[in-house]
Amino acid sequence: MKNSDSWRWAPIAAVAIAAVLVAGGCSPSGDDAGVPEQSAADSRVEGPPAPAVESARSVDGETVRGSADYDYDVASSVVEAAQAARTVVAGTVVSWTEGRAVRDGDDQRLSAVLEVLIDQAFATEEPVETIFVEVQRRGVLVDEAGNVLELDEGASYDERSVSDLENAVPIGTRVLVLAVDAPSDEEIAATGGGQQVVTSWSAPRDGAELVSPLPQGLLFEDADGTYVSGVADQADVEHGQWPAAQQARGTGALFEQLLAELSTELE
Amino acid sequence: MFRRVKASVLVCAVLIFGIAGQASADTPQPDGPPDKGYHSWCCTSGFTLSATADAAMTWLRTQTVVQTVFHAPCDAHTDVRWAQGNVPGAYGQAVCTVRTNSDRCDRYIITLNKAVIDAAKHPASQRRKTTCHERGHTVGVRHYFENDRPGTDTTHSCLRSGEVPTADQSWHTRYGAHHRTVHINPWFE
Repeated sequence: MKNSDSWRWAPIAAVAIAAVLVAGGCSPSGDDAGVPEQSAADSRVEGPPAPAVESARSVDGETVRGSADYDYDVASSVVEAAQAARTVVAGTVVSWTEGRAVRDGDDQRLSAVLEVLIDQAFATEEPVETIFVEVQRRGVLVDEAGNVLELDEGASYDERSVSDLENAVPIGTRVLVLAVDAPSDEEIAATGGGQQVVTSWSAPRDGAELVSPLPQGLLFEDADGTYVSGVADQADVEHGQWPAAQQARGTGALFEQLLAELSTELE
Repeated sequence: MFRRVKASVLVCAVLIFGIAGQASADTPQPDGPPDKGYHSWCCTSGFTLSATADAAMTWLRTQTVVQTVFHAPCDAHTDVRWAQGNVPGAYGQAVCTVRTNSDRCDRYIITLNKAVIDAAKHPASQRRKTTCHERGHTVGVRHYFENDRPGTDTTHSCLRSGEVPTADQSWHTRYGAHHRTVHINPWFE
């Protein structure tokens, strides 16, 4: 083939390359496209292998997030998000346990509590060894006695058990928490909406701190070193200057990158 | 020869950036559209923002093909319950609590965070925008940030997330053309 002949195929080759790039590596993946995260990782054929991170576990962020959408002021970087938080810590997951139950008429919402052993505190007034993070997990209808009402045939509560959460985010998973103080039982009752705490959270020891993560403030390290959101949708936490976790699957170390940015700016 | 190379690069760039750009601005709602039919709503007993919630239903009804019906009191089949309470770091939240066997959301709870809304720069406008915004989530549309508007929309809609920068703008109570014509109306028609 003459050299000039080869250029006749250049536009076709370019289209083919573009199609492969768009279909395989550049298209939205994971939660947003309804494509399992593993498929996105498998389809990537270039880039260096992920560095091995001993503590990293495979995380199912969708199970932790549930089906919740928020109206909030998005932070364009992890540092900006941290500036809106009272507690900014990194650590490892120690346990998942039952949390509070809040009733509003015949609605009852249940939460779980994630215990985190702190490795690194970036912005905490009084450093502690452990924090407890409140995570929503279930909303059900109850009768006056608090019994869960059965639904019509075919319908089911959109719920996650504590066991589901533990399977989704195993013990030992590294986590970054950007949070504010969780409202006390009395503060929940005082919001004026009719909500009442019907089952309180029992702190396992004096001084245990219960916090509520910000929408972009619960980030787990995945097995490949990237990060997975536990509150807002994954696409939300990749907004602006955040490391684009989904785009960089397989390149690893993005969770570490978040910690490094916080260390540089906040410590 | 170089003209062909340039053309190839151009085609490649258009394909990559065109498709990727479209996808980033219009990713689907993570939990998909709701069940079809009348979109009923109710207010929980302690809810104090019912005037705005009622208005949000009117905005939805008048701007889209969605038919709405009010339930009082709330019952097990009401599609959307309005409540108020604490939503850390957010003005409001829409959560799917019940699913159908076809994995559509059968029941949502919208929680408005009155304390945070009242602390916004323009509380009345914020209240309207957030009620419209959360209502939009319950009919299957996704929010966007800043100027990353969905589809070919050139003006903002209430699905823009965050604090309203100026008061009394029409977009605070408006669903965007893209959301109406590509997502909401085709689903409910």
